Amino acid sequence: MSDSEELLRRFGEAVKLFLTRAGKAQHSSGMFDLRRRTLMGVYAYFDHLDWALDQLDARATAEQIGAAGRGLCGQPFSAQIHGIPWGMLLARENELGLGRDGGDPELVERVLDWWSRAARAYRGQDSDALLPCEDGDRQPAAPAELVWRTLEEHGRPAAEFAQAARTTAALQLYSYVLRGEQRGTTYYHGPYAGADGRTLVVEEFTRMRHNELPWAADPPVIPFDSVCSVLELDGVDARFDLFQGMTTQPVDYRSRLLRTTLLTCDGGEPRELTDQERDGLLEALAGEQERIFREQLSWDADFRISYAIYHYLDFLAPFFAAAGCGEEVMAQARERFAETSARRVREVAAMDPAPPVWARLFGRGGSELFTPLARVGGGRV
Amino acid sequence: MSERIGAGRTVSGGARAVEGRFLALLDVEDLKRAIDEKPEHLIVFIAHPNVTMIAPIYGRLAGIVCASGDEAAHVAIVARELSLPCAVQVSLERELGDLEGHRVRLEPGGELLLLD
Repeated sequence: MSDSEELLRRFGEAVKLFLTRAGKAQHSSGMFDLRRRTLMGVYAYFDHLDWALDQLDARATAEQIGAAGRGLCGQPFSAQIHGIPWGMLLARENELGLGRDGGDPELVERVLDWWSRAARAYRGQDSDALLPCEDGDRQPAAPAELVWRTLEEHGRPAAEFAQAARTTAALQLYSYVLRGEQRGTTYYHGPYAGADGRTLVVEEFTRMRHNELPWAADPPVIPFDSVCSVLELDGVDARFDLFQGMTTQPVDYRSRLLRTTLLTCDGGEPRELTDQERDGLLEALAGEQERIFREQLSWDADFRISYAIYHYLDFLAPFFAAAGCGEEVMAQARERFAETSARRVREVAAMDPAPPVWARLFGRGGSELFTPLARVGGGRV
Repeated sequence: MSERIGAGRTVSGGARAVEGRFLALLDVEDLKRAIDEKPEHLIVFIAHPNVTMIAPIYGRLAGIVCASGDEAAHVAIVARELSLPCAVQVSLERELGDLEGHRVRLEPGGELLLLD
C-alpha cells in the first residue's frame, strides 16, 4: 500500500470513529441545513486547496505551520489541521457518489502528505501517531510543563470560582450560535499529567473577535479574541476526538473539578481576566448571541447552506497567518470561496434527499470510509 | 402520584432530580413561541441535540430531554457547562401533545415522570 493510500485509510478510520461516536447520522437541525452546509464548506476546500497549499508552501513548511499551533490559545489547532483532508475527501466522495471523477489524485496525495506532516508537528511527540484514536484518544497540543505552570500560577479553587464555569458556559452557548451549530473554533486538548494522579485538560475559545464570519459584529463587540480555561480534574478519564471534542468518564466531570482558570492570551502571554473584564465579556456575549440568533432566523434557504464557506474560510485563515501570508492572500481566498458558493449552492441545495456523500459515509460499516486512490480510474481519480 | 413517561441516558447533572413544565421544541416556530411567551422553569424536549434550539431560552430551563445524541453531543457539552440536567436518547411513552405544559420530573437516572 502506498503512503497516500495508508494515510487515506488511517484518516478514514478516524472519521468513521468520530461519526459513529458522535451519532452524526442522526444529526439534524430546524435552523440550518447541516448536511448540505457541510458539503458546501468542503467543496470550498476541494476547489481551492491546491491554490491554498501553493500559498503556504511558498512561505513555510507544513511542519512549521503545524508546530505554530501548539501552546495555549493556539492556532491552527488540530481540528483545523484535520479539517484539511476532511474537506478534500468528503467532497471527493460526494463527487464520486455523483458519478464524477473525484478530482485530481495528485492533489489528494499532496493534501494527505501536507496534513500528515502538519498533524505530526502539532502533536509534538516522537511517536508516529497523527490522530487521537491512534494514541489512546489523547490530543496533546502544548508542553505539559506549560499547562502545569499556568495552572499553578493562575489556578483558583473551583468551589470559590463559580464565575469561571458561568463564563465558559456562556462562551459555549455563544460559540454554537455564532458558528451556526458547529463547535468551530472552540476546542479541548490534553490530558496532561497533574499532581497526585490528577488530570489537566484545557478548554479553548478562539477567533471571537477576529474572524471571517460576516454576521459577526463589525467592529467586534466581544472584548477578547481568545479565552482559555485550564481544568484540574480528580479521578476523571478524559478522551479527545478527531475534532478536539472531549468526553469524560465519569460523564459529568464538573463535579470532579478542583481548580480552574479564566485566562486570555490576547496580547501574548496568558493572563487572568479581571472581574470587571469577565462581567463585560458576559454582557457582550449575551447581547451578541441574541442579535446573531435573530439575524440567523432571517437567513434564506440558500444561505442556511452557503454560510459554511465563511466557516471554512475562517478555519483556513490561521494557516495563512502562521505562514506569514499577507492580507492580499486572504482577499484572494475570500473571492475564491465566494465563487464556489455562487457556482455550487443551487446544485447542493437540489441534492435530494441528501448529498450522496452522507449515504456513502454512514452506510459503509466495515469497509474503508474513503475510496482508495487506486480504485478509481486505474490510479487516476 | 407520578407516571413514568420515558427514559434515556443521563449526560449531565445526574446527581439530582429536577421538576419543570414540559415543553417540546421541535422546530423554529416552537422556539419563537417560547421566546415570545416567556414560560419559566421548563424541561424541554428536543429531537436533535442542537444548542441553537435552546440557547435563546437557556436561562429558563430546569432540564433538557433529547430524543437522540450522546455524551459528545453539542447540547450535552453545553448542559454540563451550565450544570443543567440533561438526558439523551429519550424515548417517550406518551404523545407529545398529552404532555405539553404538564409538570414533569427528570430523575438522576434519566427517567422522566409525569407529575400532574
